[in-house]
Amino acid sequence: MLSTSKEKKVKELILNHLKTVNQCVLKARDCIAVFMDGDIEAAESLRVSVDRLEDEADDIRRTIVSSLGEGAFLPILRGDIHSLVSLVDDIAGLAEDLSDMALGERPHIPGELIPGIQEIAEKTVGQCQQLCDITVEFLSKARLRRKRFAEQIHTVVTAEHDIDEIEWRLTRALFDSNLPLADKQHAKQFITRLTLISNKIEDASDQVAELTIKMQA
Amino acid sequence: MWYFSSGAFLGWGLGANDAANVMGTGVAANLVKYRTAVCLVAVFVIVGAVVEGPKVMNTVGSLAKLDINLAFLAALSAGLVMFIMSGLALPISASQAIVGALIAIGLANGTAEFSLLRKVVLCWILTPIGAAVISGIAYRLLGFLLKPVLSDITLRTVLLRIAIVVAGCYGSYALGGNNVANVSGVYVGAGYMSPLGAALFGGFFIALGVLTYSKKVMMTVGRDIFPLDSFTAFVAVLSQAITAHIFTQIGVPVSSSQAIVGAVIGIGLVKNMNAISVKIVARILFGWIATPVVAGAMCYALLILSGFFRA
Repeated sequence: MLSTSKEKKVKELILNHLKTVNQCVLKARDCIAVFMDGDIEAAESLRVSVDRLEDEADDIRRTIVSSLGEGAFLPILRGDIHSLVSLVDDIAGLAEDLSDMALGERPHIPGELIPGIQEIAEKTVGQCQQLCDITVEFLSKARLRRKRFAEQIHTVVTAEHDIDEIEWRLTRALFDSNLPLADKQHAKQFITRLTLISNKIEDASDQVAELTIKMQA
Repeated sequence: MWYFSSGAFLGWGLGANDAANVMGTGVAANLVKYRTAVCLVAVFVIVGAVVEGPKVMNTVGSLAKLDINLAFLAALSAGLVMFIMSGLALPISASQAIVGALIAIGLANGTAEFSLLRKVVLCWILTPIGAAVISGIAYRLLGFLLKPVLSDITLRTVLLRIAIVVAGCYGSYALGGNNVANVSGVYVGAGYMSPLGAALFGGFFIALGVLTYSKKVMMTVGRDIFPLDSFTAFVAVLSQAITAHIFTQIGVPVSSSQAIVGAVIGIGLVKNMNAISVKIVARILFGWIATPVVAGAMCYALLILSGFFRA
């Protein structure tokens, strides 16, 4: 009853999972960057890394779920912790989808859109790092500095809004271009797939916020 | 010896029903194993019955003038009503059942102590109210004092795991102390048992009910209470135990089920939730009015069947 070993184990697993997912997002960013530069060989190697990291994240998620089932944490929080882990795992899944699309479908990306796409990718990476910081803070600190915590959550939300703006700008530029419609739609799918990662990161940070509210007696 | 069989039956039913109020949250939430929980409840019920129980014995034994036959009938009526109403999933309190039965006997033989009854009824009304006040204060106070611990997800888990089991043990102690008189107070009134002997007898059979037949109710009640959240569940069980303990010092048996409902309402009010529903108020009123009336009617019917009025 007094032992905290189950909780410590799950905490470590969650942090490890986050780290793996974060690396997965970083590799996906690198993958699409070199793909857009035309270096398919390097992109393919990075895609393999993304797939491997996604598999690793999935394995860690399964271990976390089974540890929760063995009685780690209070039952009332287990569902929320499970939701958080699933949302974080989805981020890796979306990163894998993006790199798979880049290498599997090889959409034609007009040169004028590349800086915008890279900007989205950079913001997504920053947002993912912010999610890691928030979760680490939530799991590690007995007394959260609520103001700072709220600011961190707000940063994630703001990044998602910024990404939406860039996506809108890119969409307009894409459909104003002279590309064939099929290419436009294909490129649009690629951009949408990239922005989905940001949406999922926002969902995960909302879940951390919800857990924090539940912890307030 | 057969005179005591009805008290044993009532004690067994009380144990099977009321263990849920004190340890249901812990068991339903897998914070404590069922076997461990029932063993803890059984031990603390007996300790509470022996240490605190004699304080309530005289109240129950003095509501009407009893001989051993009437004591048997009073306990049998209360036990049968508990058995039937539990089977129908209706709210039932052993305290209210035994008092109803004793008042029926008092009316039949002209010895009903209405001044004592007024005190008992007032305590019944004050039970959910008092539990609500205690839980409201405890929720705010403990929430403030334990804030640093409750904010850490690991410490919160450990603290609440321990707190729910400790509150359950205290609740069992208070349950034994307050409710043992319902089981064996009639035998003290009839002069067939000493308060300590009655406490041991009643405590034993309540514990037997806990050990042999409490699982189903424990899981049902526990699942009703627990989803609130662990801290709220802990405060509710603790407040119910404090309420029962206070009324034990006054010497009046009260309903642990109504105390826990009051405790949950109190926390709900502090949290600005719409905690008082018509259904909850109806359940409490049903306990106050229907249980003693049905138990009284049952006892009256048994008196007729036993030939009491022909003698």
